[in-house]
Amino acid sequence: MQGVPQEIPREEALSAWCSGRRSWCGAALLVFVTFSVAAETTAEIERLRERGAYVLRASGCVACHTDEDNGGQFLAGGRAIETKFGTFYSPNITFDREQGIGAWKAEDFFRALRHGIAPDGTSYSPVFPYTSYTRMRREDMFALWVYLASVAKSARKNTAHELAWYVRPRIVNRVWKLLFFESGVFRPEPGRSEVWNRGAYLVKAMAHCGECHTPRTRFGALDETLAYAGAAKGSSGEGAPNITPDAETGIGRWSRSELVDYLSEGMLPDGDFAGGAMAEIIDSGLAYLKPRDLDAIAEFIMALPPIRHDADGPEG
Amino acid sequence: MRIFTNTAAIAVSAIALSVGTAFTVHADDSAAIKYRQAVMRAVGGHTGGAFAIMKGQVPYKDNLLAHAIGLDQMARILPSTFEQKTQGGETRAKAEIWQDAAGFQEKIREIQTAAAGFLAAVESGDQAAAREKLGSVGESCKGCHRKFREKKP
Ligand code: HEC
Ligand code: HEC
Ligand code: HEC
Repeated sequence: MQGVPQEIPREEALSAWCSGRRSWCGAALLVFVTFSVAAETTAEIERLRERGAYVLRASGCVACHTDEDNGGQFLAGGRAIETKFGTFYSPNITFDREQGIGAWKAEDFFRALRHGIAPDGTSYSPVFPYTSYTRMRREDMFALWVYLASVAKSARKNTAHELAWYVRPRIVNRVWKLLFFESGVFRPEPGRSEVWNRGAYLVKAMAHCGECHTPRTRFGALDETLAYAGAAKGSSGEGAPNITPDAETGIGRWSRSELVDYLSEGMLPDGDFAGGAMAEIIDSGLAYLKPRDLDAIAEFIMALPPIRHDADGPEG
Repeated sequence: MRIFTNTAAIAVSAIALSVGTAFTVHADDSAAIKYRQAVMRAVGGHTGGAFAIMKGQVPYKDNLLAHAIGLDQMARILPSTFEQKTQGGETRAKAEIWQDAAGFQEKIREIQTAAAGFLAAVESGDQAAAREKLGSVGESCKGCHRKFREKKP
């Protein structure tokens, strides 16, 4: 079976694909495995891998898990992420068995993205935005997994985070989750268009725009009353501007195509270019998206309720 | 007595001078910042204009060369606008510009190479090459803004 990722046994891949699905899936699988035409399976895995590469880009995983500034290998981690609680170093998520996640089962991976729980049962810090990925569809998580299995492995050892003493114990993450996190799935809103719903899924379950553009409370939870209305510098790293369609403090004067241009190449309506974390998100992620998906993101953002909020102003 | 008056006069004028320089440094900084931003807006104007033409959003194909020349010229004078290490003021320039001079120089080189490449492509009349080179110009802007400019408020 050419083209199948060697790291995932075919049965595990297929049964992970089936788990959580309707009961006939298992029966169908049996028939499929017995009578399968190898070429078809290969084509299906190829399709999943392609989808996985796309999900990885749309979800911004590359920006955090590749230490590009220091010439780090693709997805080998080691990138410093500054927060007010200290510096986190992203882990190696290649399939190296010792230093990466090569010894994980698909279920471990789903649990990390869906619930923020590591294979040893401890909880991850919400710096890893599982708070958004929890809404990702299972088939997209599975596609991600299949794709990751095909990425060149790296034996780079993980760097320990450098955190303030009070957030160092992993139990803190668990308490935080109890207070502020609920795992959930994405539910389309029936009253909205297909395009809006696709945009909502891309923004909330993948591109996690709100993790940067929504301000946080003292405890690091998103302040949903100011959703997408901009975060001051210092609340979570460098902060980010208001992207609700308010004409004064947000992007109310932008046209939809200007927003699409910005997301795909970084140019602002006045010829200026994005910088900071946004330039990274664009270059390592959004620039790879299909025009129809960027347009769906723009549809969702443009339909947000406008909020007048100057993130760096006197009230923060 | 005369010695004293002379010394006093010198002291007073020295103080006046130092106060004067203190003020001029400030005034200079804000002029330098304004000038730097004006040049940057010119860079932005030519880049935005070139993109609008290349994408066919406006029909002024014949203006493309003027934008390419403008961009190339601005890229050449760009380093001078960062010669003065400004402190504070209404600026988004990060202190890293002067702390990591080699890294900043690299970004200057990138925009100069990209702008010269775009000009050459426009002059040759090769549309596809011009499109690609304009893309590299955009990359060079993002590359520098990513590291050396404070985020938009
Ligand atoms: C904002 C930065 C950021 C983004 C975006 C991000 N991660 Fe992470 N990720 C982290 C950090 C930091 C950790 C470590 C968290 C901890 O130690 O508590 C982590 C942990 C992980 C782990 C656990 C690794 C281990 O060894 O335990 C996996 C798997 C992972 N991320 C995969 C992904 C995938 C897949 C995506 C995209 C869908 C993604 N991450 C996006 C920062 C990020
Ligand atoms: C070598 C670094 C560098 C490069 C390359 C660069 N910029 Fe800038 N740019 C800056 C810095 C730093 C500022 C902030 C200046 C300040 O506020 O004092 C800035 C500010 C700007 C501004 C805002 C000016 C204002 O009104 O305050 C615009 C517009 C702009 N740049 C456009 C561009 C475009 C377009 C390109 C690419 C063609 C580009 N820049 C390339 C460093 C760079
Ligand atoms: C990792 C943090 C981060 C994520 C994720 C992120 N952004 Fe941003 N965004 C920023 C920062 C920082 C800026 C300011 C960029 C600058 O200074 O040039 C910004 C700028 C913007 C702007 C320009 C606003 C203006 O007035 O200039 C828009 C529009 C935008 N982001 C939309 C989005 C959308 C849509 C998403 C999700 C698809 C997203 N961002 C995801 C950090 C982020």
